[in-house]
Amino acid sequence: MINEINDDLEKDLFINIRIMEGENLKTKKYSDREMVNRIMKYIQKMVDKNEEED
Amino acid sequence: MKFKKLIINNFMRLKGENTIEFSTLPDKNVTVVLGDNTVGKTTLAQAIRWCLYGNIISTQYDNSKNICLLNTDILNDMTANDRKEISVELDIENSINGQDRSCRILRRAEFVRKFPQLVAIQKTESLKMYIKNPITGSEEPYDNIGKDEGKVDDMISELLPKDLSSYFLFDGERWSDAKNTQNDIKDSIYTLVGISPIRQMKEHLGDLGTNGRSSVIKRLGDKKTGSGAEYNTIEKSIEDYYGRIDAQKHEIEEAQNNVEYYQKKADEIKDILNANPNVEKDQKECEKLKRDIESGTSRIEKYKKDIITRFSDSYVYFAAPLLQDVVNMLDGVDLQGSDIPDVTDKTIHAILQNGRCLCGHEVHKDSFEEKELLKLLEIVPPAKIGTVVENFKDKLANWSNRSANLYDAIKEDAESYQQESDDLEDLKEELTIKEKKIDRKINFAGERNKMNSYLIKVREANQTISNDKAVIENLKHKIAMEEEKKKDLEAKNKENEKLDRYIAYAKALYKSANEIYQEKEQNLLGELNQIIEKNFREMFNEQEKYAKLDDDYTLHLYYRNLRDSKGYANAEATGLSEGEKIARNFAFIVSILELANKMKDEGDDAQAMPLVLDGPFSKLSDVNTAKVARVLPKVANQVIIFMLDKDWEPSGLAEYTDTNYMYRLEKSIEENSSEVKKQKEVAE
Repeated sequence: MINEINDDLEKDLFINIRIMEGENLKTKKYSDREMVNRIMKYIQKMVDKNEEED
Repeated sequence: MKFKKLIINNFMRLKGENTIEFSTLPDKNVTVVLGDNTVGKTTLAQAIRWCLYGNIISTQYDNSKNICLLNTDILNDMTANDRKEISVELDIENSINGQDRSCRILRRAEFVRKFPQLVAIQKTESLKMYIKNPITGSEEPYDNIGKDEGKVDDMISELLPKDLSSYFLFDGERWSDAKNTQNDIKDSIYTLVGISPIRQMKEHLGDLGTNGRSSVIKRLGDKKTGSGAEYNTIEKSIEDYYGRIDAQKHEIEEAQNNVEYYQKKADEIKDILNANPNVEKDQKECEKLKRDIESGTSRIEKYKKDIITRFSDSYVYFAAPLLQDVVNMLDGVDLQGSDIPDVTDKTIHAILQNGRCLCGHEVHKDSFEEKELLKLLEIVPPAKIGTVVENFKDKLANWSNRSANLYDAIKEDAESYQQESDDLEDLKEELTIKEKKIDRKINFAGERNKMNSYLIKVREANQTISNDKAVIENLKHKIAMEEEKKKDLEAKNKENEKLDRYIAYAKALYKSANEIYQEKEQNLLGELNQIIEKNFREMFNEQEKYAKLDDDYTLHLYYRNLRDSKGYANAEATGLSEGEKIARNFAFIVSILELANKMKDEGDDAQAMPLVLDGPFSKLSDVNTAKVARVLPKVANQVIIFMLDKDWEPSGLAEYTDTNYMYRLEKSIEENSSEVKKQKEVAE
C-alpha cells in the first residue's frame, strides 16, 4: 500500500524529532518556521531512504 | 548533569582566585558554603549566573548597571588606566548517550580604572567552552566570537536553559515576584518535566498557524499539484483528438477514392478526345453552323416582317399618280368663295390703319364701318380656305416623297431577304455535309465539359486531402502537447504519491505526539499538585493550609476546612507573610524538580539539574528549615547551598554532606573582600 506506515521508521522519526525539538527548546536556535522546514525535510529524507533500502 | 568545580577570580566580593569543588556523590550530594551576612554568599550564586549567562540577578540592587563586577579592593589598588581581568570558570560533569562529555565554561572580562573615581569600565568580555572528547580524553575548545558567534551561548543553553535558571539557581524572591506571567511558569514547567518537546512537535507537525496552515502536514499537502480530474481531462482530449484524426483519415480515404474515380473518368474522356481530334473540331463547326443558320433564319423573318410592314403603308405609293392630278385640279378651282376678289386681310388692315376707305369714306373707331371691316377680315384670305388648301398641298408633297422611298426600301429588303436566303441555304448544305462526316452519338464538347467537371472534382478532392492532412498534423501536435502535460502530471502524481507517504508519516507522528501530549498534560497538574501538597505538608507540617497549582498555573494557598464566601470551595489564604511565600515557593520548586526527576527516571525528556540555593532558609523558622532542607537532597540530584551558620544545624544537612564539600566564606579584616576556604581547614 502506498501510504502504509513502517512502524519502526515512525518510531525512529518520533524519537529523533522529539530530540530535535528538545534541543531547540534549549538553544532557541531555530524559529517555528525553520523547525517546520527541518522536520519536513527530515521526514522526507528518512522516508526516501527507507524506501530505497526496501 | 552536575557542577564539579567553580573557580572565581576577582569577582565582586571575592578577591584573587577562589575555588569550590562540588560534591557529585550520589548519596551525600550536598555542597555547603557557610558564611555570615554580607560576606559574599550571593556573590557565589551571581558568579555561576554570570559565567553561564553573562548577567547577574539584579533584583537585589537598586541599579544593576552600576554594579561593578571587579572586586573593589582590586579596583582600589589600580591607578589610572590600569587593566585587570575577572574570570569565572565552571566545570560541569555531563554525559550524552552514556559518553563522558564533561565540559568547562570560562568567562572573562577586562576592566580599566577610571581615575580618580572608584569606577572601572568593562572593556572586553570573552566566553569559551572546553568539551572533553570521549575518545581521546582531551579538551576541545569552542569560541563564542567571530564565525562561531553565539556558539557557546547555544551550547550552554542546551545544558542549562536560561529559562529554567529560576529553578536551579533558586532565588526565593523570584516566585513571589509578580513579573512572572502564568505562561512563563507553564512553559518552564513543561520544559522541566519534558512535555515541551512533545508539545512543540505536535505544534510543528499539525497545529502551527491558523488551523495548522503553517504546519508540516499542511505544507506537505500544499506541495501536491495536479489531480486525477485534470489527468482524465487530458486523456479525454487526447482520445478526442485521435477520434478526429480517424475522421480526417476517413475523409482523406473518401477523397482519394474520388480522386481516383474522377481522374479515371476524366482520363477516359481525355483518351476519347485525344483519339478524335477532327471529329470534335467538326462537331464544333457544326454547332457554329447551327447557330449561324438560326441567326440567319431570324434575320430572314425580320426582312419578311419589314416588307409586310412597308406594304401596309403602300396606299401612298399607289395614290401617287393621283396626287398631281388633285393639285392640278385645285390650282384650277376658285378658292375665294364669298370674299371680295383680290381683297386680302392686308387690304383691310391698311384701311383700318389709314382710317379712310378706298372710297374716301372715313372709318372711325367703334364705328359701323370699322365693325364691318373687322367682319370682312374673317372671310378674306388667308383666314378662309386658302390655309386648308395650302396644308393639303403640303401633305400631298409628303405623300409623293414617301411613295418614292417606299419603293427603294422594299427593294432593299427584298434584296437582303434574297441574300440571307441564299446564305442560309449554303449553311444548311454545309451543315448537312459535316453532320454526315461525324458520329452523332458522341457529344465531344459535352464530354469535354464532363471531363473538365471531373477534373474540378479531382482538384477539390486533392484540396480536401491536403486540408485534412494539415488538420491531422495539427491534431498530432496537440496530442504531443497533451502527452507532455500528461507526462508532467504523471511525474507530479508520482511526486504526489511520495508527498502522500510523507503526509501519512507526519499524520501518524502528529497522532502519537498528540496522544502523548494530551495524556501528559492531563496528568501533569494532578500529579504535580499531589507532590506539591505532599511536600508542602512535609516541609512545613502544615495541616491547616495546602498549596495548589491552579489550572492557570498560578500557585495558591487554601484553607482545608474553610469555605469561600459563597460557601462553595475551600477559601484561599490571602495576605501571606514573607515566610509563607517562601514556604509556598519552596514547595513549588522542590515539587517540580521531584516530578522532573521522576519523569526522567521513567524515560521522559525531563531535565535533571543541580539545585543552587542562595540563603534559602533565612526567613524560615528552624523547624521549617529542618523540614525543607531534608527534602532537598532527595528531590535534586545535586544540592549546592549557600547559607548562614545559624541555619546549618537546624537544616540537618550534615547527613547529606561530605566534609570535603563544606566551605566557609571568610571576610578579610582589613579589606571588604572575602575568601572561600574549606570548612575543615578553617576548623583546624
